[in-house]
Amino acid sequence: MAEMRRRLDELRRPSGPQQRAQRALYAAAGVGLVGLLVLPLLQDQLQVNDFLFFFITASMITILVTTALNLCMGYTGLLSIVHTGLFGVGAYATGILATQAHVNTWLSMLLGVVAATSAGVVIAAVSLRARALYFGMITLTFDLIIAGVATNGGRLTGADTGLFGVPQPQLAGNDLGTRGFYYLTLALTVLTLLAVRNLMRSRTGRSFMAIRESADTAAALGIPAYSTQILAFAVSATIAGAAGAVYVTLNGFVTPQSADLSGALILFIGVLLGGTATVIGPVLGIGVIATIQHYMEVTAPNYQQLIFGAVLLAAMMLVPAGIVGTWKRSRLGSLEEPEPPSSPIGNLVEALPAERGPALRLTGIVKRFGGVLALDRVDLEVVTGSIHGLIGPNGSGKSTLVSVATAFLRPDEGSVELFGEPGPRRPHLTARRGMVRVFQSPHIFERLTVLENAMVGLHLESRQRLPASVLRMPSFERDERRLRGLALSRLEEVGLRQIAMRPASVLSHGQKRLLEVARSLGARPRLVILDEPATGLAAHEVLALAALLRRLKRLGLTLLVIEHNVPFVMSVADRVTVLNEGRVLIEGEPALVQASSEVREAYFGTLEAAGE
Amino acid sequence: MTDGLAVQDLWVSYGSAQVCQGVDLAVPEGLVVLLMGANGAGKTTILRTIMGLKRPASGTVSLRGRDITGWPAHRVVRAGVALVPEGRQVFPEHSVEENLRLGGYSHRRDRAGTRRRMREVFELFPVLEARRRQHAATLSGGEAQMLALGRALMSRPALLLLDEPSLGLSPLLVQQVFEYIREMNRRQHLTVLLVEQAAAAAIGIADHAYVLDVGRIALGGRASEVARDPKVQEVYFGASEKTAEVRS
Amino acid sequence: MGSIVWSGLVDGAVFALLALGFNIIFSTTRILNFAQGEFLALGALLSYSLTVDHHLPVPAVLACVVLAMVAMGLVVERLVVLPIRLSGSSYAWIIATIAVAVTAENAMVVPFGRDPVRPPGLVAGNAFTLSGAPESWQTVLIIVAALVIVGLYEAFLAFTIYGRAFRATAHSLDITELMGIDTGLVIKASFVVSAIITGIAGVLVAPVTFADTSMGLRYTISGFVAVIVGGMGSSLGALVGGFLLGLVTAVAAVKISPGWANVIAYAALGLVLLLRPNGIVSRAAVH
Repeated sequence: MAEMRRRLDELRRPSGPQQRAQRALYAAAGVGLVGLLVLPLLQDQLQVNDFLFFFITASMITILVTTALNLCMGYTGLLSIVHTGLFGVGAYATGILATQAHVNTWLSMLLGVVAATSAGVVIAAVSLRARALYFGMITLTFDLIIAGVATNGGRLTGADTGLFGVPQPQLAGNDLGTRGFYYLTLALTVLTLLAVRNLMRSRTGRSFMAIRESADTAAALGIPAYSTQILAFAVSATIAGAAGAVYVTLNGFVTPQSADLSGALILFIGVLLGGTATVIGPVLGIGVIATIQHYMEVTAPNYQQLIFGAVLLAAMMLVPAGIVGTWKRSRLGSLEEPEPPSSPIGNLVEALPAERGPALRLTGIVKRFGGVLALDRVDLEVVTGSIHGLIGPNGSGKSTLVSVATAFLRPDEGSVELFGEPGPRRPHLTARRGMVRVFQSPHIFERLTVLENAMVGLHLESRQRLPASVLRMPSFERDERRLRGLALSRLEEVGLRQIAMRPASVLSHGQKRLLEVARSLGARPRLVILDEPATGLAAHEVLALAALLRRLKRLGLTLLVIEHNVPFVMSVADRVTVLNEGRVLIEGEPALVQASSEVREAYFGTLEAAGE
Repeated sequence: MTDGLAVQDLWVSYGSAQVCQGVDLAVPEGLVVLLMGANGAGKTTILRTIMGLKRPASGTVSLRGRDITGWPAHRVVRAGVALVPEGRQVFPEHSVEENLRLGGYSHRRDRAGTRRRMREVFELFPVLEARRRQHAATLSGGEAQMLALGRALMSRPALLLLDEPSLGLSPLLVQQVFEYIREMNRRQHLTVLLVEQAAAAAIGIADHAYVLDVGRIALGGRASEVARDPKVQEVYFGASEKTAEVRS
Repeated sequence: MGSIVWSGLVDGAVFALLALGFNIIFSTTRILNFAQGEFLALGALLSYSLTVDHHLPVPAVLACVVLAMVAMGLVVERLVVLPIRLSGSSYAWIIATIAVAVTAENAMVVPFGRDPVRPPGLVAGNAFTLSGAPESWQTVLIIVAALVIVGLYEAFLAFTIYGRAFRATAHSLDITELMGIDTGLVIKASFVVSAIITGIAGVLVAPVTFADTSMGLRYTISGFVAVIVGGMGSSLGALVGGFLLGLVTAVAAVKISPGWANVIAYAALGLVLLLRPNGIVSRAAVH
């Protein structure tokens, strides 16, 4: 509610051309929706035939499946070629229950959706053994299997000719009818789009997008990649299954062609032509494509497919960013989201209980890559509440050591202890144990806003549940406000508050670095590992970074800083470890380390010769 | 300037990030020029833009007076420029000899010339001849670096661009690599543009040096003069001064 | 049983050639070409038209098909690579290649019509009988041709400078450019080589099956499954995946039911993927 009021306030305020354009768009969408609502009432006056309603209903069903695909592919980065199959599972399960088990049609539809969801969970769980392209190819195999079962299911599925005679659901003793289906599908589409929008603006949606950008980084922030991807796929399968259930009861039949690959093209086009990872993209994409297809069915039935293919190729080249993407890049469409309201600002880091002993202790770590010995019995102890510097020439094993400490790599020998207990076994568990890693090159979620980036960092902090997020319940709103406040306070601390609503991709290298530090604080870490934080920063940015690190230390955090920039490390660290060729060369206070002749030889090499 | 390489007012961006902001650079023929700067200052981007792997937003790159801006990389290579990329990037599934032959692709019809050139590379790096049939993936870091150097030489360049050749090598090897570079420069009159983080070691073999600071050339001139600049001393050789203080 | 295995091997040989075609384009562009089967369809239909309608001798038919494939390879390369480059989307290839497939399939209806056709074999007569069933010389030719073509392609990769350039392009476009190699040209060449190999597979298979304009998608899917199971980027994998798919399908068709054969084959091969997610002969991880 509060958000809606804010939006209304926004709209009332006098404004520039971008705001006016946005208002015009909202108005057009509103008019369109009202038009769709009242169209059946004006049928006689406008002299439209029933076919138009059927066409709009069918298009909305396609929009639903496309939205489902967009959730997978656009938002979560999972290439799925099984969405027509999931649609088919929903349709066939509904049809079989209604015609052969004589289950009530409404109940059949519900169970059909459940079947699609279950199929989605199984397919994702299996396919996620592979990544990226191979994931997509395995889902394609599933699609072939689903279509094959439908073709060969004998009387159960109606084989080649398909399943016929599926009864319509009843409403007050009558069949739902064309208008009834029209309104049912319209309601389902609008609610689904709203649900997706709400979902993508919650902790769950942000974790989908974070995984799309980088599964490793997401894991480092405490997001379990595997189960989150399965969740995304399951939600997506549910939407596709619902579309199938409506489709089969509307038409009264379903054929194997509905489930096979041939229907997939329009879905991909819908996503890409409309605009990937946008809520309204599938609506626009399918709207355009369905209209072209419909028009060609009438005018050029023989060359329909040929022209269709050619139009597609042309569209790919003319609107490569999709309709929504192209609009957002245009002058009128480049409106920044309004600055969030000033929420109560939380503490940067909660006061930490005083602890004794080492925060991190690595003992006798050995790591080989093939025949190369990357780490040779390395010991490292990071005292709680200190800044510990780790330096060494390139290739000395610093990054490998950090990967071992954060469970990205498993050591061949040796042990990792974190706050007196055995180290975590999986990367996403490190964050839960109070250790976060800030990567060497900024691992920012580029396509998320600065604020969203900071909020993904608060993943473990959030108490949002999926249903509450989708329904925007008060508990969600409260939690979201709290998270936003915490995120903003962290952005404030590193000086990025003013640009919180910008996409992270436009930040400078130094700003990305700072954002990553701010984001890593979200997980309430006790130990932060910074991998070459000063790299690529301008001189004044390095000074700001040093000040920030000292401030974090005063708040009770322990910091492990891996660096190249020796003067920087020497200026902030309490203790320094020097690594060389996979071994610890020396460990001690900065001054002591600098004085060591071994270090000079290994690290500063020919410096003296050059100095003259 | 008509000889050597000249970069004028080069602007390059990645997305919305301006990585090069008006860079001017000259590499006179026959000299070794060092380009130094912090990580992320834009050094690699400059090399990639010279090679044609990255299109500049504006500015020109000219070679011996000829404007080569926007040429595709394979054409720049045929014009006599070779790049040894950061991290070596040898073809791991090709044998050492195949890597070298690929380096000589532009002269593939001149079989005798290619054979002669390969012999020269083997003379310079005898270890490569010993490993000639091995997959490049099996080479150690130092050997891979030599292979990357040798592969670049196979295209018979007049100008060699080197991106962080010392990366991941032990100090002893670093010195060796720099000696090779100096030797190739003297023996074959090879012009070299060297990008190096380990500036202290590299400046010893450089004739001229430039300092790049966040997309701009902050300083340029004779290597010895650049090395004496107090600011450079502080930023690049800072550790040595402090070490010296502690020691005394 | 002997004749079942033989027919499985014949189908498998065609799948293997398709899988090889996929591999060639995939290795230089990281694109899985959904229009791959259309090369095969054009090869098959063109060979029928030239042999039966225009009475050309076999060598002339082959020459014409190769020329047509060079042209089609170049056209498809432009239609696929240009939209991808322009759009910059990591999924653009899916639409581009499917759109090319749809366009090609429907464009072929114009000269060839929709009726299934079956040209005479390139070589006539029966070679031998297996468990009572005669096997034609054409089937022998298909298997031999598949093995020879895969062998020739591997030799090309291993022993020629251009083959090395192909492999280098598969590893990294930028680094290959640094060798002075025009990678744009290599990509064009990969489309042409892939089209020729797949088109010849079409010429070979047309006499033992029926050719029609819709055959492209069917073979695209079979080739896909073969290449996925065999392992992307490996010629040996293409052979293994192709023959395995052919054999499993043939045996299942006879022993269980013709209708379920494909489903069973896909399910069985899906199981293989569970054990080896990157294919049987996996070379490098695919990203």
